[in-house]
Amino acid sequence: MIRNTFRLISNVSRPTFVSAKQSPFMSRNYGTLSEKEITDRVINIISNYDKTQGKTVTPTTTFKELGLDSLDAADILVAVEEEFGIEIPDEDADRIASTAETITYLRKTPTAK
Amino acid sequence: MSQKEIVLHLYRSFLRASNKFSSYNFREYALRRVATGFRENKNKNESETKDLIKESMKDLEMVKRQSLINSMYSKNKLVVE
Repeated sequence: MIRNTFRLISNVSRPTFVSAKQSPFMSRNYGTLSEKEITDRVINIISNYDKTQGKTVTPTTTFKELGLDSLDAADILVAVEEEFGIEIPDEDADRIASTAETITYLRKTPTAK
Repeated sequence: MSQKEIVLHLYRSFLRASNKFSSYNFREYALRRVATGFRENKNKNESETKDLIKESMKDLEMVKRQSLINSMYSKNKLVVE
């Protein structure tokens, strides 16, 4: 009886063991968002900001080109934080100065949603 | 850390804290007040900014406290939301 039970457990547990062993070879998960989706949402946030009304925002525009100062950039980054449900640490936020850098940062953040 | 960085960090903390108000009117007022307040003092010299930083740290604590209290007594959303 005990042996039967043991065999049953080992039979059940074997497939999960095999699948767990494969996971290191799987590609690394960089979050579930596609690059296009991130780009669209970021551009939407930036073009809806008061001071960028009427200006065209492309993925390569820097905040300076849009006439934004560091306070405006902070406004935008906090809006991005809200949108994606993350918190960007101050050291990283200080370095972000363009649309492209925002998108790259979000690509590297797996918790972004 | 340069003074500019300190101010930017403060500004960001203010925005995050203000966003936590659950009442629409308080939240919008706090965001507007923070945005205008920081821009008003944009061109102040170094020693003036130093005093302002000290003052705003107290205000930041106040915003954090008030937004927490506000979220405890949250009500239904307004029509404008």
